Amino acid sequence: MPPLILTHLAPHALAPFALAQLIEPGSFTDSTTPSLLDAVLPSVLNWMLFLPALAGAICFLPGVSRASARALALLTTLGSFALSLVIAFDYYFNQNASGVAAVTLKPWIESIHANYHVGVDGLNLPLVLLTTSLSVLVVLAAWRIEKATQAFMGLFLFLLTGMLGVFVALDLFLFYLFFEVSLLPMYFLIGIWGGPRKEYAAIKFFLYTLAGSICLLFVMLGLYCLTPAGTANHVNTWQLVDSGEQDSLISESVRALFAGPSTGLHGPTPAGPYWLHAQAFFLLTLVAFLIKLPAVPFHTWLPDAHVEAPTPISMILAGVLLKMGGYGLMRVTYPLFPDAARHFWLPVATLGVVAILYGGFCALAQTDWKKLVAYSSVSHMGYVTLGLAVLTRTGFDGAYFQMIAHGITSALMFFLVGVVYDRAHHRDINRLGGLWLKFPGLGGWSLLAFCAGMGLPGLCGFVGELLVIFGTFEANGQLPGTIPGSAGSGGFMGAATILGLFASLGVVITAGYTLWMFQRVFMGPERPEAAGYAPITAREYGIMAALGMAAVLFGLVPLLVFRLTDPTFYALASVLGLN
Amino acid sequence: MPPNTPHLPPWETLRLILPEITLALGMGAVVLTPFFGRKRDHRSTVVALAALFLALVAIVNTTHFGAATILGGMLSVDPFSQFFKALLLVFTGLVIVQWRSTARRNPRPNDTRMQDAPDLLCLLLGASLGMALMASATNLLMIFMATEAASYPSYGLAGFRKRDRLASKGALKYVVFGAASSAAMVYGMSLVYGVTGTLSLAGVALHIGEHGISPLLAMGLCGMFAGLAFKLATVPMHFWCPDVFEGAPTHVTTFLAFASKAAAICLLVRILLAFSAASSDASAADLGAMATGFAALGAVTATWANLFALRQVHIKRLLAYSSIAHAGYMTMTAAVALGLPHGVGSPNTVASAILFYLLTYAFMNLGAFTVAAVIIQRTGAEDIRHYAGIAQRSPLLAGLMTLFLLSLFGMPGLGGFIAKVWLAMTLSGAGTMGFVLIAVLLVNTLVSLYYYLRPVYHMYFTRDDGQRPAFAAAPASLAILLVSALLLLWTGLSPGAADRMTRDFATLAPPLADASGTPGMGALKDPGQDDTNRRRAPAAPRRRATFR
Repeated sequence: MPPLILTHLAPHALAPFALAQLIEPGSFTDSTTPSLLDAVLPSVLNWMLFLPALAGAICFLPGVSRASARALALLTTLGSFALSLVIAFDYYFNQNASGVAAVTLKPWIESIHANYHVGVDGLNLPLVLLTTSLSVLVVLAAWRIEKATQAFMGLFLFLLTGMLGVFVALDLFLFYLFFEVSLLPMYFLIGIWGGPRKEYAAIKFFLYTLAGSICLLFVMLGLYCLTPAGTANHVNTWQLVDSGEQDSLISESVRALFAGPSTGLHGPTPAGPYWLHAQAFFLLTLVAFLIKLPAVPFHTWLPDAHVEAPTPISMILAGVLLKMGGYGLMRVTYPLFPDAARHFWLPVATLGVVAILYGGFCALAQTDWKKLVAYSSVSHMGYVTLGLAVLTRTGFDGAYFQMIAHGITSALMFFLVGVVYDRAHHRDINRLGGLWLKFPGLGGWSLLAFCAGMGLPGLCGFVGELLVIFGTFEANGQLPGTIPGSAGSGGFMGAATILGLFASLGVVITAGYTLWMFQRVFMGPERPEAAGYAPITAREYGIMAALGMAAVLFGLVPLLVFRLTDPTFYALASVLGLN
Repeated sequence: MPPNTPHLPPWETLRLILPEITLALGMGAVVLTPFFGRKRDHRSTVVALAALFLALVAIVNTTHFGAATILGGMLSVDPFSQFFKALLLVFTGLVIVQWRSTARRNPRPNDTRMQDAPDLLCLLLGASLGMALMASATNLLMIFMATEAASYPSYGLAGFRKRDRLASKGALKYVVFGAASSAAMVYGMSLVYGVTGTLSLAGVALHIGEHGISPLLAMGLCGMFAGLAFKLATVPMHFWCPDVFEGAPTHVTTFLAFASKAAAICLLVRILLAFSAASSDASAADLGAMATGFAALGAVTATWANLFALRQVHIKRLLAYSSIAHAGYMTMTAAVALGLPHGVGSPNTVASAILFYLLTYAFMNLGAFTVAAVIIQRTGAEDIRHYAGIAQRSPLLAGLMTLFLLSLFGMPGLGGFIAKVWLAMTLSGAGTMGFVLIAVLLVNTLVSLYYYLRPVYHMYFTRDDGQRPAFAAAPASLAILLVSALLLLWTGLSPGAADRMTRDFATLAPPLADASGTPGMGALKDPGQDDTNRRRAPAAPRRRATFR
């Protein structure tokens, strides 16, 4: 039985990568005594969050020169990165169970019990690090932007605060605020510095994502109003972590209201009072975040936005903004409505597989290189949807790792496209060719990048896809509503297995469009017009090297991520009843 | 005392209507200024601003009073009405400042000339007076008179650009619609009087509570509300709005867009709360139907306006449709005051949500129109397609315009968002119907994003053809803009204080306190009777289920 074999192989498959175990968490300090660092961590987090916005405002002041705007942006992103590293190191070595670190909790809008509540845990810390590190590279990639540089850097820094805010917010209302506020700089960044159809792409991006946000807002209002006033539930509605209990992500009592019927050890329990609402709310929040992810029926804004956006913005869009969708699913949708998630697992998982295959086939058909990479993003994000939908611990790990890995590889791929576009001034794959001969270095890094995206073992794209597919096979028979005719819970060819097989097929399609594209762009004889291409600068090689090495590092030592996420995911697994 | 001898009400009563008296005196003073020397525009402006300021002081003096129904049940003076009046006066003052700073060197030859200042200011003060009375009126006759007092100056204001064809068209449309709706209103009121035998709002409410709404009464109420719908510009009565807004000078448009609708919505809330306070089993079904009607009216208005706004290219027409949409959102919420479906929803929640909405709407509207006025003054561009390059020529103005438009749309972090959330929270008190309305509100918000972004799109994304000079707003306009922007950021990022304030002021005089059966047209009550009502009222039960 191949699926079972694969399932049993899963832990062993990762065993060679357990290098990180050499450094035991908690081996450096005694985690029970609060250190001085613990006291300042909340302010470190707040500085990390608002430093970019502050610097962004400075960029807009009159009299700031281009050079100083660039320098300010670079210093700010470096500063933010350094601060996030401080938090990450502290979390890595001092973590206590699944606790949330660097928490600031202050009342914000008292009449609706919304708090200013930020902090890090295993679920958001890797994404925070991804954001801060990638933003440094994005500023470098944007170094040569001459059109209104000050405004570009200012807007980008505002965007950075918005993105970080989405990840660190532990209050749903605050999360929503950052979720929408981060749209606005993006709208301008695409609309002002974009390509020929930038206006269309910008408004489409804004309207699509906003449609999702509106769904989310509706659910938020519904949640708040359905919880009885005056009770603790009502007060805690917005809390995305339960500060009272360490191992819970959403207030237990809020969740109980939205519970579905279950067959426990003591006989069947009836559904919670709002089970029907829970199903509707689950679907609405699902749509909200699937638009952002994007999953297939809602993905059409993405190719447009990517094609029109300038290179650095494509990097941040693919690298970080799409992750808000996956993060939102993990932080809001699934923990709030686990029973509805179980109820709807099959359609959601199908959406994931459809995204993998459809995105892959669309990528095959593209002649615009950037559009190809954009569709590959759709395909790769399908693994995130699938990994979450099957509700297994392996699937969740895989989905999360896939987000980090895709953040690295897609940013690198978009950067490579940008490097070539700056020289060739077009992105038509059929009119490119022989680039390896002209730029062997570029060819090498590209090979690394596309192999990582393709999921070559040893590179970061491999781990996520593998774990998601394993997780899908594992889920076979564990979830309700397997296809009739299969042998029930012990069945060999349940729905999950079939979905897993199709998802595996996606790997082949990915290899197909990647290799075919690579062949057309880099192989073959050198084109005559390539003679005039400017040489690739050290700055560009630096960015490629940083991202490329990250792809190798996380491919070899995935535990760097899992060390951070494990405790929180353990809690999440108990909340969701993951298999 | 012989019953027919007119006598002045005691000082305690006069004190409560001192703001209105001050405004009326101010009107007279403004008209008289041209007779005292030249520089009539300066003097009249100073006099008008002084009158507004004094009226504001008078209001501040009454705010600790609690709620009272005075002058034989004609007017209710309570925190709710006083908050609106204070907001209205501040707004009118800012509109005058906006006019002063944008009317000079205006390229449009037909626009408001400085020497017309006394006429303009007199009309503005008069309209404010009528609107202030609208917010307090508790008697059908008073409602009619206040509405007319607000309308007549507005007709004059709408046609203020005397030689402009568009202005004449708008003003004529306004007058014709206004006359028709006044006729409907007064006819409706006569039917209501015929059925209920009283002109007092409380009496009508009690009659409805006892007997339900008969078809004849329903007809009367429809006529009455048609008059209000005209001021609110809700759907079948909204056709005047874009034309008037386009034709009138920008400062007049600014004034009408907020003040006329705000006064009407305050009056609507007062009427509906009175009906709901007297509701009983006998009338629950009828009131429920009425609530559904208002909810549908609001929903249709908002949707209609947003769809029509999509194709507007004239900035003032665009903002006109936007204001219709906002009136629709508020009407939807006011319907909750009647208790959708039956008896749910608490009056104070509705009133405070409306007050918060008005507070933010006043300033985002003022801001957007002020930027539009400055742009018209400096570049003559009224068509948003001519906004190209403004982001380069005046980055600050473009940024501020973006901020105001996004607040009108409801971007989180700005006051407009919190205001919409408050509306939604209020709607959610109304059960399933409420959630349908929330969905309507949210979908409309999404639609509105498209047209709010169109000026932004042209300012930032469309290339300017040549190198045209940079421009900036005059200091006074800039001050208005910055104050509005800061207020919106403040209410958006830290709404706590503004929220507490609007909650504290969301107290209405007990709507049925004056149900003594006075026909409402009789002599003034004697002072002793007034005193019984002037204590701080134990207002409607403070159920804040949806907020707390």
